[in-house]
Amino acid sequence: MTITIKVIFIRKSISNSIKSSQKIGNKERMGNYMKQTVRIRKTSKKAILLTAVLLTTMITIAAVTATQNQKQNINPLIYQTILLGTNPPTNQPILAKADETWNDTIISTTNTTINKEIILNGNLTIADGGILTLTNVTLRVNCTTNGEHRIEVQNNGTLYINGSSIITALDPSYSFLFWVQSGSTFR
Amino acid sequence: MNNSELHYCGYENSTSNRNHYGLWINTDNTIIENNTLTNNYVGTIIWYSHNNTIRNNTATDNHEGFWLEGSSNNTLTGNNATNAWYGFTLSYSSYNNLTGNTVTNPYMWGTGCFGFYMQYGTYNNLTGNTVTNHTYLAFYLIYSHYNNLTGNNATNNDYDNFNLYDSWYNTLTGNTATNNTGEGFFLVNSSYNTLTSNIATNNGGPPIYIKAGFHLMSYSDHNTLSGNTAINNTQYNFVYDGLNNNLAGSVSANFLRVKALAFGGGAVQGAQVKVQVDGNTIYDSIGFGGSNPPTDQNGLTEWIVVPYKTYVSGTTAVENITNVTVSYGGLYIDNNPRIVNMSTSHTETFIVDNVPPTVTITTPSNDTQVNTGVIYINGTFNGTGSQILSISINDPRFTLVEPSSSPYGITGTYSFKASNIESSEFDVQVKVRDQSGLETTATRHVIVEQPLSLTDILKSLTAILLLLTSNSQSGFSLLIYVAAGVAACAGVAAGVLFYYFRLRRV
Repeated sequence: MTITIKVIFIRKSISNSIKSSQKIGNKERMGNYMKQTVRIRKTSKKAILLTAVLLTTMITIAAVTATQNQKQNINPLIYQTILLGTNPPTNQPILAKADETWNDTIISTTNTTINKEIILNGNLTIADGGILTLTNVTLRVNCTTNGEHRIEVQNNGTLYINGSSIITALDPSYSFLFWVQSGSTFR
Repeated sequence: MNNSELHYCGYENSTSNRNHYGLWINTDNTIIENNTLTNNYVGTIIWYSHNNTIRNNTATDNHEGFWLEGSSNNTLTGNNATNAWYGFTLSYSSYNNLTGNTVTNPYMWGTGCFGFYMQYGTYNNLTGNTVTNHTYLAFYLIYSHYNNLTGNNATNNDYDNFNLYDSWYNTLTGNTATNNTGEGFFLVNSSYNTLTSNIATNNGGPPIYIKAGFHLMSYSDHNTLSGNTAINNTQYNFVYDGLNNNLAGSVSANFLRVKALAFGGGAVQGAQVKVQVDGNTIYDSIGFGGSNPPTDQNGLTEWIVVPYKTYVSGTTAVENITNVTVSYGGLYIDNNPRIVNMSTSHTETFIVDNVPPTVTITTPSNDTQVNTGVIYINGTFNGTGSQILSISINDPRFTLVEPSSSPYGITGTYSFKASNIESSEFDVQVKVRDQSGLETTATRHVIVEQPLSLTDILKSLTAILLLLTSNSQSGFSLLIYVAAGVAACAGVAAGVLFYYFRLRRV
């Protein structure tokens, strides 16, 4: 609110300066313009200072709110730290957004997931009778060691992957496993 | 799985069932198509499974692209494996069809890398697959039998291309191995294979080992090679040391390029070329009624594949006779037509004589007096690219005495002789004509002046006296007239002198 008021004030000052310069002669216009400019500069310093204070406050509030939401699991917006590329710069973590996180997940019914980014923090098992369709899904398997987690289509399970889906490792340093077992369907 | 991507799946592991290697398929009837597979240990591994379809996938930067283990009746079509140690592996697998797959630019790890690697495979069909750019072994079969390799292509690879090790009863038909560093088709301890209509071109590298277009090595017996063509392979086109191999119908060929140069220097564009092998025309440009292009602006034809040897039975070959004819505007072309040795690929150069011959007259010198009744016109000639066929002179009094008969050679001297030429002046023109029909003329102005001998002088005086005494007119001899004239002149002169001196005294 403070910033808004100040901005309006500055705009009004400029507007008044222009209006007054239109009413009087050129010499007077220049004199008034200089006066208004000084006034605006003084006002601008105050506005910048207030803006900085306001932004700092807003960022702090947003961070606190996000932390609370994450703890309360109210907002599913999730941020995970990942390393992109095989040799990422050290100490420069990159946040990857995910719509969902899946821990150990067993699909034993029909499940269709579309247009989502998912982080898999466990094993994904399509069990007997389960049908999972991933369409335009980015599934990042979060392993901290090679082969820690796997995607497994078990006997009589069905997995469809299509629509520009991407199945990859969250951390390229650690590969995941992908088993399509005998008697399963994979297309 | 289709139209999707798979990355960072699988890693090298000692598990016996290889299920840590990547997308591990242990079921039947899966369809994997139009996917991108990168940075996996194996793009896709089919493990003891059947009737799977793997189609139009791109596997890049995987340790191995596609692997079939103990699997049969699978179809792999239009897949690409780039930057892999093994592009496609078939192990203990049978009756699989691999069609139109490509392996490009694989990694070179340790001793090498492989395009299509088959071990203990039987009855598999590899059709229309391509391996290119620096694969170590393009198509490699070991302990594999009864497989068909048809219409596959190996190009620009770093070592051997179609390799059969301890592999029997395989059929290789219409495959090509081109521009590879090692062997084209290499059989080791492999017998009873049939190779038909395959082509090996420009294979072979530094001669560390024997390298050839088709190489049957150590205990490779009873193989039948028919209708194969080996062209310009660095060391050998065909090499064999096994027993009872039959190469009948196969051809060892090399490249021939015809070059037409002008004798005076520079390329001859548009020269017509005809190449015949054992009487059969294999190249003829329009001037010979064919449609092959004549020489280009560099005086060159395209590279022509010319059979050098044809195997007629077993390992017996006969050498073909290659005859090349060149024509250009009726001009003489040296050594044309000619039989060309095609044991190696090479450029055969033909020199077209488009330069007129030269001729000089060395004696007599110009405008100098000739004091003899026998005159020689001597000089030199040069056909400049062809022999001189004709030397002539414009004065019929002269005859050519040297050289004796046409053709007179490319360079030489000549001599014309004439006798009883009276004192006179005249021009002689000596003309030479070469085998191209080009002519050149040299001209010399000759002055003939007979010298006066004492006999000639006496004869002349006698003739004058006879003239003076024999000729008469109106009853007086010419002598009396001369004497009277002289006396009259003397009398007149004396009278004039007398009168002159008398006047001076007065």
